[in-house]
Amino acid sequence: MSAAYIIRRLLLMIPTFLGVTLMVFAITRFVPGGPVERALQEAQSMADGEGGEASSGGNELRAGALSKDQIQMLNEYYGFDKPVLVSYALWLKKLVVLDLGDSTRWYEPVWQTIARVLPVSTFYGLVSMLLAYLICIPLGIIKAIKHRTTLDSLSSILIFIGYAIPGFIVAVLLMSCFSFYLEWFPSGGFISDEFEDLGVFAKVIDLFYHATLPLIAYTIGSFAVMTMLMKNSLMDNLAADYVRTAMAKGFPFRTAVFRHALRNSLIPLATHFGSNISFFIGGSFLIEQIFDIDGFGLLGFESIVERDYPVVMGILAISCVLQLLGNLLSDICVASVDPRVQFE
Amino acid sequence: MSSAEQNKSTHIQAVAAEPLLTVKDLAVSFETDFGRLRAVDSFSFELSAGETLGIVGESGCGKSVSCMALLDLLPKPAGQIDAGKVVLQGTDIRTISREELYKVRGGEVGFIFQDPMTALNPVKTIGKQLAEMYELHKPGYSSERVTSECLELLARVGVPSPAARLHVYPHQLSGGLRQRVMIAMALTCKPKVLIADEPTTALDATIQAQILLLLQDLQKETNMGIVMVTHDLAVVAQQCDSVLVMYAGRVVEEGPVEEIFANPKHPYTQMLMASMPTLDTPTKSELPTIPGRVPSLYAMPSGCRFNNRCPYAQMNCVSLSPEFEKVNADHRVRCLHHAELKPRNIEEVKI
Repeated sequence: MSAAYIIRRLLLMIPTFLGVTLMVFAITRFVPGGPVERALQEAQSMADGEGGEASSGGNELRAGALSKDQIQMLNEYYGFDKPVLVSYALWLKKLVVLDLGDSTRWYEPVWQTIARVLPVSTFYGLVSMLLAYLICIPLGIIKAIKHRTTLDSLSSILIFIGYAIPGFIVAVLLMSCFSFYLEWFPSGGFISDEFEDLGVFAKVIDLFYHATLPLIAYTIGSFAVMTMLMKNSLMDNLAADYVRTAMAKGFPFRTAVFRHALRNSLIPLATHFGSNISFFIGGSFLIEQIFDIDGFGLLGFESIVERDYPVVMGILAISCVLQLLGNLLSDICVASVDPRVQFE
Repeated sequence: MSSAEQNKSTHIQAVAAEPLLTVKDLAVSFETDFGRLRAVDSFSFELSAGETLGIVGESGCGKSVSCMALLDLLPKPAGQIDAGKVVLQGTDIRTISREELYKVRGGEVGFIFQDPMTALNPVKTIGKQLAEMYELHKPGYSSERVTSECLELLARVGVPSPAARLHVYPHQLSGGLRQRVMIAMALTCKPKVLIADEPTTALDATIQAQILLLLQDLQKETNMGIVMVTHDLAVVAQQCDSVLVMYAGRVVEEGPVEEIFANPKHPYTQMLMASMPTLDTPTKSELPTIPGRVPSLYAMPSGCRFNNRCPYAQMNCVSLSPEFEKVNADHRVRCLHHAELKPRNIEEVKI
């Protein structure tokens, strides 16, 4: 894999990135309920409230609450007075110097909004990624070697049940079971209120005390795919001729598996490895909502509902770049474990 | 390329002393969805030092399985050895400990497999895979010594510019070179016995000839016994001293190569020989084939296993299972009617 290849791949990311962001940017323009309409709605209900009843609202917005000038000012403020392409170009121009604009909901730079949820999401993303790899790879290996034993069947049943139940259902089940009835775990939140006063060790305990249930909900569905991928790919390789060669050379079976079959069977896993680069912006808004975790999933979802377009575009830009880099990283990973793969 | 000439003088022809490897009544079975099925039955042979034994038969007749079973290399847990002895230089390999068995594998007995592309690990360099042999069987060697010996080995098996080849991956070599690397790997510890499971099947004709010559040279040099599994009768004729003909999991005929080729007794052997084209065969004429198919393990015919394809089959072929019978001192055949059958006659055998 040459440097020229990597540079070419990096350059090819630019049009993809432009395509994705332009499309979403255009959609944000045409979807009803944008920030100007929200401002109108707010002003409307405020006016109605003053009038004694808060009934009106709805889609039928009368411009009466705000003057034409005020609307014009709002449109200018949000950049809606210019054509889509022009304001997209302006957004891009700011993006080049890593300026994502200001949140229309929090009235602060988008970076600041994102920075608020970053630690929580990073923690959950990192831990669930590590958990997935630390559990799936050894489990897949054991299942492949112990194929068709009770251990294999039992673990298959468990991981497929986990796979079949949506994460948020698991979250609700766990919460009602372990925090409501048994009261073993807190019902939500990221850390305790007195977190700052705790010692380092107690802080870690507190963190995982809160994180146990959400982590189970997050990871339980991801075990099946990776474990079975690992198992099947290792089983293919166990039957491969070169494992027989290794044994004919005098390796015990176990050593032949670890020294010869394992690296070959990691190749399919490596094809997904790069996507881990976006581990810190993952997170399901449903699970976050249930456990009251202030993470990326919830932020993204709420930003869309609240039409906080700068944040939406900001998250999109970050996840898009990470995804594209992740693809390249995956390819680099594959090439590094499989000498037969060569990118020119 | 070959140092065989110098070694010819020191090469001692093995005389009928104690055989190097004796296999007695080996039986192998596999666990399948239809229950445990016997794949190989009463498999026996003797191999002396410096001798080459050919095992021929159609695909699926149990040639490879028998060879894998010799050192318990069957796929686990499905494959299993049910009975028999494998005596290498006076020791029954089936009774020794796993650790000792690991020493015999690769140390006393070397293996070469059919497809050198898949038999070498695609993600490890040639040098690493060769060095593993030293790690396993000659643990005291320094890495410099391992490298220099690897280079010597590669040069011996005819790999050009071996120093450069140490750092390449199998996919960067041609099929012939890969098989040479496999041979080098098998010969690292100067094994007493080399088991070659269709070593030339995946190679084209010229490379095939080169590899066979190389094996002959190496055999003269080290006086090892070779068990050569093949379905190519021409390879047997050129390479082997004696031959086992297998059919449906059983040896049906065995004897010295000249004897078997000149005077095949079993109808199956006769038909195999008849289906082989010769220089006299008119070009583009249809080659004789043996009608029918090898019976599957699930539906093995009773009595003689060849009875459903045999043109000479009689009533008792279905009811009686033939035992090995001596034709002469070395030549044995498993056929009830071998004495009544006429000597090989291609026209008659052709169906």
